[in-house]
Amino acid sequence: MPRRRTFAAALRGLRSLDADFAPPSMAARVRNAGSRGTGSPSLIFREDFFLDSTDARGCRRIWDLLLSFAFSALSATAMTAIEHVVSVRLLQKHYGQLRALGGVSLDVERATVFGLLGQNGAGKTTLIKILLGMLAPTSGSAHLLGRPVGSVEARREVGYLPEDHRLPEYHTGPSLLDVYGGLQGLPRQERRRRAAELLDLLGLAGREKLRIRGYSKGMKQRLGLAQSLLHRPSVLFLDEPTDGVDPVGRKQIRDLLLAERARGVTIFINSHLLGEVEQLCDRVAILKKGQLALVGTVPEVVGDKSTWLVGFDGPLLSDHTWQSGRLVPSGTADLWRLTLDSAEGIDRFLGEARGRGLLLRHLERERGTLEEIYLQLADAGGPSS
Amino acid sequence: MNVPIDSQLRESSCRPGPLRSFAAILRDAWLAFLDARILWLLLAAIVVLFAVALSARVEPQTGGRRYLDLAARALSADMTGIDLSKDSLADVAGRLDGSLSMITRAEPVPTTAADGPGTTWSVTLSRNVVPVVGSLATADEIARRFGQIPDGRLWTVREIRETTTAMAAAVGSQTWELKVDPGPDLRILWPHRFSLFGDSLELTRPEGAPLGLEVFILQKLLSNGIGGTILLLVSVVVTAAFVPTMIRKGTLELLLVRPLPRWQLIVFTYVAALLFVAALLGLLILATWLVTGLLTGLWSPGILLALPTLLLFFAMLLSVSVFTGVVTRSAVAAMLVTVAYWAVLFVVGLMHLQVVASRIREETADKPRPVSVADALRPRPQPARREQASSPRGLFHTTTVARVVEAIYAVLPHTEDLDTIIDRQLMRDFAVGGRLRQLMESPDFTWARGVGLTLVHTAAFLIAACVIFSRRDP
Repeated sequence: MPRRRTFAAALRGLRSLDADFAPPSMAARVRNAGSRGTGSPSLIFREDFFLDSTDARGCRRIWDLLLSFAFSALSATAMTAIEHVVSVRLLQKHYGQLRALGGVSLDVERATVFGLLGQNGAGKTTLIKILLGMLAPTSGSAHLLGRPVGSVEARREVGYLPEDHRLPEYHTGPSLLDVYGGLQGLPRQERRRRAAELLDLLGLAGREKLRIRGYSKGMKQRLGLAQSLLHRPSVLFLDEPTDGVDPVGRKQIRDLLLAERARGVTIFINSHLLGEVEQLCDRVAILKKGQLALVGTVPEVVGDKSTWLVGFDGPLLSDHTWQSGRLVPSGTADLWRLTLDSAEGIDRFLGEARGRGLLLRHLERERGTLEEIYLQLADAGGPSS
Repeated sequence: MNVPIDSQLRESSCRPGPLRSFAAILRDAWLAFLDARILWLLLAAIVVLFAVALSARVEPQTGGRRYLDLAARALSADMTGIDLSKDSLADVAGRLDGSLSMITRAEPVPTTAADGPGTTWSVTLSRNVVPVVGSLATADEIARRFGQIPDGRLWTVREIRETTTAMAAAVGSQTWELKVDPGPDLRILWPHRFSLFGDSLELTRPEGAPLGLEVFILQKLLSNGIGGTILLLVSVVVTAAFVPTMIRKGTLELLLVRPLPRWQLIVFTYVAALLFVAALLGLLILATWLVTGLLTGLWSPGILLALPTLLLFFAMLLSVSVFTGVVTRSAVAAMLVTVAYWAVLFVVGLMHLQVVASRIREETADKPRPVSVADALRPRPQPARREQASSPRGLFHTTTVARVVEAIYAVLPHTEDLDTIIDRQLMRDFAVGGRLRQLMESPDFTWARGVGLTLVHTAAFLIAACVIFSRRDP
């Protein structure tokens, strides 16, 4: 499904400065983002929707929107109260002398994929376990969908995939999902239907008779994901969701998660695979020694550099120092790294290039990667303990 | 495709009741149960045990004359508490009512009929009364009382004709001609040979043993004894893994995230395990009842009482196992602690039995039996007239060890009482007598105390397990 693969990229593109460079077809896909937000009207009437209003299928989309608007009006009393799906205030957790969390405050909006990063022992799992109500915080408050964490009502709305989970080996896939569905309170038919659907979606169809004992690591991971999605939770907490899964499987899982987000599900992802986090997450937070070191959208966190990569058709450059900036070889074939003298200098640079009779073949703003930021943060204070 | 539809569906369908959670845990435990290989070994062992039992042959021996004599003796003596399987006249000494009855002639009807538990007899009964002390009996009285013993009816009188002459009556001697049919309880006491594998393995003396005693031993062996012990031991081993497997890291999180209180996880698992073991026990006991019934034709349902008592005993073991599992998170520890607990209960229970037996001995020791007229006529008192005095080691129940045992026993669940409930019932049903019967009928054992204390212990362990599990960080 190539549509979905570029979805996250398109979304990120629209939100960042490069929005103008996003081709119209990409922008059109963002309409999904419009229809997924039903809880609060502010999410629906985003600029991305209007970008798309000339589309041939626009009428149907407007109809969909009206419908979903009506639904949100119906459940307005319930839903508008929930500004944030997750709301954490000054959360602390101490294990004896050890301070696992030292005053974390965090708000996460609905239908967000939220990446939680940090080194081993930074407090990621502790934070998630508090949000799931498995651990009691030492101080501070945490709410899930407006309910205090740990309450049975709050737990009804969450799905969880723990790290290093061990599914009982005597089960087959369907029997395990049936048991967990029962504990979740799903009626039998709903359990069966949903289990078959998820096993199919996660590529486990046809292995219904196999006991988990005989599963590969990737299969266990898929089944683990299936159990977390079984009851259609509003909030998903996933600890290393693609651990041990092959690249094709990873893509399947990413697509599945994005589809869940499109349904309005908020997803917490705990992962060390930074590339994947970058691809998937709308917002990230970096935990360090029990403190939030950084929170923001991926572009915000990564930040833009003031350098551009440029490439020209035409004669070789002889003069490397222009009026608008300085060009140095980038190391990549035929591309130059441009350092502008002023922030709005890109227009000056384009004019200068035209003046010199050069045809622009490539122009791209250079950006940092999550990995760079992460390593910078990690270096700053040494490994957290 | 619209989110609200999804969430509305969920709102309406997700009405989690404890029943649905319990059904889910039941299914989970069932699969875990079936997954245990040892369970199948156990079932195979029990099937073999029952196959062996079914290969048994039970054959009546001769014994008509003996049980007619017994009935005659019972006319004149109080037979309460006497082991009828042992033919000792000394037991009757001191219990006579001033008369002596005996069979002077007995032959089957018709005379060619074999001596068996279904034979009708023609009998001459004579009764001699000691003047002044005893009194003459009427034919009606004899017809009513002949064959009646404390545990049932050996014979019923079909016809009775008094042949007493006037002169004999004057000296207190009466005779009757009777025709007697086997009573409803004669078969239980009738001597039978019991052999396994056809005739190849004799388990009784050549003259046989009372059928009731054989059934009693067989049922105890199959249900309460070997069968029950194997089954409960294996059940302990299998179920000990339930809780530790459930609460190990990586599995526990998947359960704690579900919308149900934590204690329900423990209690539901406990009840699920109990249900499976109840089903197994039910099968075992039903099979025991069927096998002994088919072999001997005795269908007394006393053994079915073993289901609730064995289950109650297991419920307590399981609560210990769950408690240890929650605290240590180790299946091996849960298993070992539970078996050790069982062993302690067994040993303490056994020693308590000794204490009770010793106390009974003391109560009856050195007390002369009621003096009969026969005693009074004897020139000098017989030493055998007194009950056996204390054993050479002294009275066990006065020693320090016994006091310690009693102190421990006072706080432990009285599982021996549970066993006693069954033993007492079976002994009554099958007219088993002797010293053990005397012990079982002792007021030291009450079912209310046995059941009550066991339930209290079970609840205490289970509640402790739930509290610890609910309070602890995973």
